[in-house]
Amino acid sequence: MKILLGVFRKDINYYVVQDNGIVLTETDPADTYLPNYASVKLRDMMINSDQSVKDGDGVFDFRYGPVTSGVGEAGIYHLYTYGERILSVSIDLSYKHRNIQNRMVGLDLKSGLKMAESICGNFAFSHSLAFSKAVESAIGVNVDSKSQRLRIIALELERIYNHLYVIYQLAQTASQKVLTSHLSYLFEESLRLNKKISGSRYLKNFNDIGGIKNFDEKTLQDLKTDVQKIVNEFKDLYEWALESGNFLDRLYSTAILKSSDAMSLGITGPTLRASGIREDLRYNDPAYENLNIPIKEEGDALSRMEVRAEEIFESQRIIFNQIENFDAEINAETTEKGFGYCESPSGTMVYKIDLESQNISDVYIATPSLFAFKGIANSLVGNIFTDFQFAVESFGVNFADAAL
Amino acid sequence: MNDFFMLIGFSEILLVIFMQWEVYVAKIIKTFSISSYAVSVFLLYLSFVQHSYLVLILAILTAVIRGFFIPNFILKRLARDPWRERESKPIMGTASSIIISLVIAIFAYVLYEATMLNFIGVLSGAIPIALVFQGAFLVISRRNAFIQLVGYMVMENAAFLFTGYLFPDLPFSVEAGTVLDLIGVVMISGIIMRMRENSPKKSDDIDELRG
Amino acid sequence: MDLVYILPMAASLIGALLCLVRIEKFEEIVSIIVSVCTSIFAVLILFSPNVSNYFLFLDGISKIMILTISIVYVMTVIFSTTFFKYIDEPLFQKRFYYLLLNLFAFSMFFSVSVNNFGLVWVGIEATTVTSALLVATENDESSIEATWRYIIIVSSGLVISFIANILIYSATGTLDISKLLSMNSFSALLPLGSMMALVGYGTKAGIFPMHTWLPDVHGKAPAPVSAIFSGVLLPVALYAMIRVIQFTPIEYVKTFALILGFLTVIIAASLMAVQTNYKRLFAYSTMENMGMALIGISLGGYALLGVIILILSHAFAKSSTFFLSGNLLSRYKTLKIDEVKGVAGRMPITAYTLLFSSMAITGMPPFGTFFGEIMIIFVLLSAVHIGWVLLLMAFLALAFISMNFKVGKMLFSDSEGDNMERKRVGTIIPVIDTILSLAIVFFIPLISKVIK
Repeated sequence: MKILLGVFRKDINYYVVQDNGIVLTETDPADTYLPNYASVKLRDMMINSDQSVKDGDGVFDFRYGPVTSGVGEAGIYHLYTYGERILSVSIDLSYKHRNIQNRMVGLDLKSGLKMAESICGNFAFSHSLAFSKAVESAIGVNVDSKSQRLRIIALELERIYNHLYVIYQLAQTASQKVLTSHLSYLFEESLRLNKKISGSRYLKNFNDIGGIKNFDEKTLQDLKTDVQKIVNEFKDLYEWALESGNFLDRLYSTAILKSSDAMSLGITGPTLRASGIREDLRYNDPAYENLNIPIKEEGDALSRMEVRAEEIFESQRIIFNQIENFDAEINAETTEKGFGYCESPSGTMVYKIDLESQNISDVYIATPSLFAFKGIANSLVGNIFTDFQFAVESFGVNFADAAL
Repeated sequence: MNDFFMLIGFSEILLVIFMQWEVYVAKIIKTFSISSYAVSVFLLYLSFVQHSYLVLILAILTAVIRGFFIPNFILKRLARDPWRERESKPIMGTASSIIISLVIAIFAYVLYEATMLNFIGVLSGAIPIALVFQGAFLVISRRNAFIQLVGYMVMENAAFLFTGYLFPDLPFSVEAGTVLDLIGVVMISGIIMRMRENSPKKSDDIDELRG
Repeated sequence: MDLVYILPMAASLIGALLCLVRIEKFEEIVSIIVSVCTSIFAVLILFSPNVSNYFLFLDGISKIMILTISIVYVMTVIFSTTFFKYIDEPLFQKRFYYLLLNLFAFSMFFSVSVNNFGLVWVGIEATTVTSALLVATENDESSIEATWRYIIIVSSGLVISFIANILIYSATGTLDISKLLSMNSFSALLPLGSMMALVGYGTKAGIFPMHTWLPDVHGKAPAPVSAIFSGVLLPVALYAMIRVIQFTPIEYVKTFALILGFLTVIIAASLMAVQTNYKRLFAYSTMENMGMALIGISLGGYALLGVIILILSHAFAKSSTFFLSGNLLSRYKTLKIDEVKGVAGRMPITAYTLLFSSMAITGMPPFGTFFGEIMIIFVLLSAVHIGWVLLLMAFLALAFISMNFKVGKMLFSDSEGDNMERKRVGTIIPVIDTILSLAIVFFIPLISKVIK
């Protein structure tokens, strides 16, 4: 059960592989990588569905983006259709391409961290965390237990607000006005909670290399009640949402992604768990206890929403657990030298960093959104036009995260 | 008496038509539960009109078993989350199902008038007959096993309503036996449906069940 | 003493309860003892006078039904003891299999002995409940699907007969069979009720148009279960139809039954010609025999004697063929007629028993079925135009040819491989059954006397 996440070349090819909750590099390519080897290696900014039907009677390219209402960032969806059914999909990421990996080379660690945080606002903390873990393992710094626990809490806060956002988007797309308004209120509340904890609504400038400094432990007591409040309100909303046939009908059997396809595309995170695969980096981290991460079988938009909703409940348990054991020591997870990764809200985030006299000499970044876009392209084929927005939103992706 | 029967009967028909276009199994089962309670309310009323203890017992049995126990049993047996258990590929669309079930109601009325009305003498006796046909249509037009089972139970309920209204003096042993059998069928169906969801040996020869 | 009449029911019920005891092989021994006892009781009942009281109603027909059920029950239990090991990953433990089998027998005894037509309905519906899980014993997707079709189609069909019962009750004011048989006034609702009853019980008896569950269930149930279904369950439903016809002295209801029977024979015979699966082939043959029996029931008189002989003889012969189909399946691991080759060379006893029993179920002389069918056709000749009789006989001939040709192809094609005959019980039981279906011929005078 190995998932290929990246390929980088030093003197030979190194394969970045996720296997049962661990990310590692291999030098020996296995057959199972072959399906997505080419796309991972080339990092093409044009993502195509496997099925490619671009001409035919009445088939035209419906070009959606780069600046359109409904597409949040600059990127283009080319939907090939004859009017109703989507025949094939190409997604153009290039508008967001900023050549991050090359620009990071030569930066000092502080600026590097700053740049990593700025790659994608939604996943700012995940990027920051993966970057600093990579640097820490490269220079051999030990992070104290409290910082580790704070990082876990911040990561789960990021997860909560991202999942709330995804479900909010789905509700909005389905014109569930009341649910949308409530969720947008909860989303705003969770951002304010971030501000309260970290000083930044998107958890920026909070994490630092070597640990989290300047943190007032008293805020932790409030955190518990605040999280509880948000999650409880969400729980009620979610239960009501599941009673609404109109909402469920839009998600049910929309953009189905089978587990085997998801694995071979390199998809991780909630999307993979919604296809029935038990795979999460948190399982292998000794800092987490009694994990009960949700898994669904069907692999449709509804499953993805269910997984995300239930992960919010799980995040609450994780945060509570960390606060209760805040003073207890934990062992850090050991990784390969220069290697840092974390379970971002949408999947595995990996940084591979080489240092030369406190400056970054080489960096390789693997982000979850890139693979998820491939998943969107493939799962959209065969669905009808009005399913498009549900499919895209249910994956919880960002162009900025994918294009680098 | 007859007015009350008409009221209950028509609400039963409306409930069944609601079932015809609903796709969520949980909602259909809850609707069935309501329709069973309606039958038991009618029997309760009947027992007061006729001062009959046996009918009162039947009313209580209906409420407890058909209204409460069986729907809850089936809901517990749903293998997947209730919001997922639904008719995924209906054989007929919503619109055509409703039209067909209305046609069936009219057909049942005509059939009743042509065959039984002269002997029974009560015009509203057509309602249970229409319900039987509606239940049969639910069995035929759906693929989901739970909905088929509900369709069967709608037929049962209709037969029960028919008996309760027109022939309340039917031997009690027969009525009680009917209820026992219904429980048996539902229990066995519950087991079978669980097995259908997670059968260990996957299909090699579903095609064998043709021809 | 009336007690003897309820002994078969009591014995099978006690047997069912004893199956709950957790002792190795205990359930098999208990079931064999119990089923043999019921056969002895059935013979005792056969020679006891008719009875009609508040609860029970047994005349000649019921007695012969009880005898048939008990003998097929014995055979099924004994054959099951050797067959259960061929089911990989059964649905439940052996104890529950025998528990359900005994309950199933109980519900059949109940159906044919009670005096209340409403309770007959209850009993027949109970046979569905007790037998459904037996069909699913093999626990694979298609057998579960077949079981589901069985439950939903048969239960829905029986709702029709439930309404029919109500109509009969409103027309006559009673549901007691003894009173129904001797009544002389009824309202005009009776024919409608009777016809609905025929359709409803016809579902269970595999009568057109509600027969669709029958080939699926017989094709997928384990061999002993198919045998007891075909041998006695369907005749129990026919028993209810016999009663309906008996207490409805109206000509067009009988004609309706005649037409149903006729259509059943035609459909079954035509479908037999295109079958590629031997268990389904035997299933359609059962349907054909039930259709013949319904024709006989609708005619009454001597034809009814023919029906009883047909049912008895068919029960033994058909259970034999299904047992043998189990032997074939356990050795060849396929249900396809084309893939079973050279049985005569590799399983000689099975092969020759199957040859004779398949002749028996298609009405070849000198088996009992032949005499039964001859009596029915003889009465039919005086009832309808000869052209119809010839048409019916043409379809019987079609059934005969397709059955024996296909069985012959399985038996006498080129053989390859060693002898793989089943030992002892697996072959003795079908042989006994086939001999019984032949021996019926010598008991025709006795049967005729009992029915009178």
